[in-house]
Amino acid sequence: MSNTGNFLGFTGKQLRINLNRKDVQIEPVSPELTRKFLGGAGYGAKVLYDELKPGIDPLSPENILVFATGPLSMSQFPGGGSMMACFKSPLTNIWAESRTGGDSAPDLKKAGFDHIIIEGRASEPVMIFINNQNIEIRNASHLLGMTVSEKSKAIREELGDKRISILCIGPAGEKLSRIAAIMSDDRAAGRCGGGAVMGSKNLIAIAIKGTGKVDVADPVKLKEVLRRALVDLRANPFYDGFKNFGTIGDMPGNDDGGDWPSKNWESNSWGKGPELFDYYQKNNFIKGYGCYHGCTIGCARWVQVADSEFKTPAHGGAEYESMSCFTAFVMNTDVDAAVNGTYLCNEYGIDTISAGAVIAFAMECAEKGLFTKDQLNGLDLHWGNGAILPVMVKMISLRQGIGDILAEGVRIAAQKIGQGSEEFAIHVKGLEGPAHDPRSGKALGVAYATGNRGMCHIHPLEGMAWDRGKVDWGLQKFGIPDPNEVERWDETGKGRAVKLLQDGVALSDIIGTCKFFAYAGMTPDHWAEMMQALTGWDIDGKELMQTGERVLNLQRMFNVREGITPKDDRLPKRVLTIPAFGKYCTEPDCVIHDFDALMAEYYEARGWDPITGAPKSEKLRELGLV
Amino acid sequence: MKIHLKSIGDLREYFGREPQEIELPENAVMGDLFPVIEERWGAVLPAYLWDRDKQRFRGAVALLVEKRVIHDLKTPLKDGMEIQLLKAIAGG
Repeated sequence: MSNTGNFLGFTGKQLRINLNRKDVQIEPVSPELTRKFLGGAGYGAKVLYDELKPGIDPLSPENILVFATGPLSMSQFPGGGSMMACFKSPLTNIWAESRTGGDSAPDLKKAGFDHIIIEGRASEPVMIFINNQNIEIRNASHLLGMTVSEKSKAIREELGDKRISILCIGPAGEKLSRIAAIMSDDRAAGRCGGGAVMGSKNLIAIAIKGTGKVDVADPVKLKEVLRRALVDLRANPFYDGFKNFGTIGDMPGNDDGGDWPSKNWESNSWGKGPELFDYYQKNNFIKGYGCYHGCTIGCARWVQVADSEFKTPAHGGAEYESMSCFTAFVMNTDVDAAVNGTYLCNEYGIDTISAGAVIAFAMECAEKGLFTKDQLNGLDLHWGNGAILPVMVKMISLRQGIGDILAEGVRIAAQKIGQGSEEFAIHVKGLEGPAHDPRSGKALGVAYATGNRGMCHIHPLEGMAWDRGKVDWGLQKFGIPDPNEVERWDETGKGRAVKLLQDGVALSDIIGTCKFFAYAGMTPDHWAEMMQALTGWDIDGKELMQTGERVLNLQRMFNVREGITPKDDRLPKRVLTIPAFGKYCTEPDCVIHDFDALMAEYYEARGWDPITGAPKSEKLRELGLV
Repeated sequence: MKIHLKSIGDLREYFGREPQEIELPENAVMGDLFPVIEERWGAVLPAYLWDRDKQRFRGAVALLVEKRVIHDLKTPLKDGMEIQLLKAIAGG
């Protein structure tokens, strides 16, 4: 069955589902808008900018949730298992994009749809079942309270198919925790509280079954392009690196390199990274695997705590971010406790980064005596107490006790706790910082301050991967300096470089692929060749770079409309401070010396007004946004 | 023959910022680098990067020639060749 709508390489159709009326519409997708914004975080930005009223409560029925595939979100493409959820975030009140791996995007394409747009709120808990072109909205009351794995098993049994893709929330999403994730088995669209948005809509799960295919413009050319791409991938060092060690393989090096935020960002290096990684490799790691059918890297980790008080079944998880947030953030050396804590995050459906961040924040509050006796209620929140991590995950997920405040994320929690706690609530625009530190490479500082979803290392850019890690993503031909000619602690030129890097590295989020394939050598030129063969378009890397710039500016316009100004493009003071301990505590060069100069350079490169923070009208005209 | 060992990024802290010249026999192969690395840098390389007993890199350190990974340690070396060392995970 061919799913091609009105243009090749896409299905050309999207679902618009109004949960108030339980109404399902199949709409055509505009070829013009698709060419301009492609898909993923680009198409989602266009829908939300055009259709979402500014100022709405993200947990109200007025929020719109878009699940957007990209043109390359198919399993034959490098990284094609990639689904992007776009929404107004209940954690940050601004733009949110949150990506999950797995097969949901390829299956949606095979079902005959490029995107799903969800409006309103159902009157009772529901599940949407997309069975090729048949769409059902089914009662899901029986799923309430189940963990993610329990829900997934129940749904597959109910629908009689073990291979159905599922996007669902856990109990944390049902409780509207602002750091709740959208889960796809053991993969997560973790950040920004998408799980709470689904919960607020009474949307418990989406199940997707697809058996069709998308017509390709030039299948012979595509086969050759993909063959050559695989040759290039296998010759790239990062392909092997991610395959053999997963992201967690970077834990020792990041600790050594000052890229390991420790003790709620008091430092960027702890010294425990190598021993914790060695323990993990020896005791917890089982094997690597790919999160979607067809992944040739397989960076995901299958892990277990075989036998201890923190025993877990074998499961997917315990990768770099999760484990760093449950070790270095909280000074915990008990790796089993960290694996257990991150396993529970997946089961309850909560963002591991925000969870680790908010627990670290709570530990510092406890250290400073900011909690009342009633609030603590006997909890032992001293630094390094690994045993408290699983307890806190459950409390935050279910909004129990102090967990009810912490479920709001560090920004709101600090507002509620007061007493100076806002000084050590580490976030930008409300999104908690992940396990990468701009004191390891200053491009990350610009990326953190200006990322459209907040303090995010990967959407769109892990800046320190360029100036410290020497990854160029094939972007030198588009103007970024050779990273081998750049020193990680230099500042001049980093603002300009980050603008170009963001435009180029955002592409994975727009075309619907896993970004690690970009790390492993897939460049805008590779993607353009694939798209030429897929769609028949005359498209090149330069046009893709322009698309990246267009999308990031549209997301910025969304944010400006929601009230973002230059005062929000700032870093927490602690991140600009010499580390309090560790390898770099006597290294003054590691901190950003002139943040204002970096931002001025960035704004100029972006064509944004330095007073309002908005893209100037000439930039918007250049990008076809007005 | 002489080859040049150029380390990239963080590895420069241990191998030096400039390419390092290494003398090897005429028919040397890629794997012949490792005893030299042990002899010259084994004492300064952190344990998470280098296994002194096995004389091999631990973790994701790649050997590259002209930016492409060399997987086969029996790959012949040529006089004047530049071999790059890179820590092959960044980010995540």
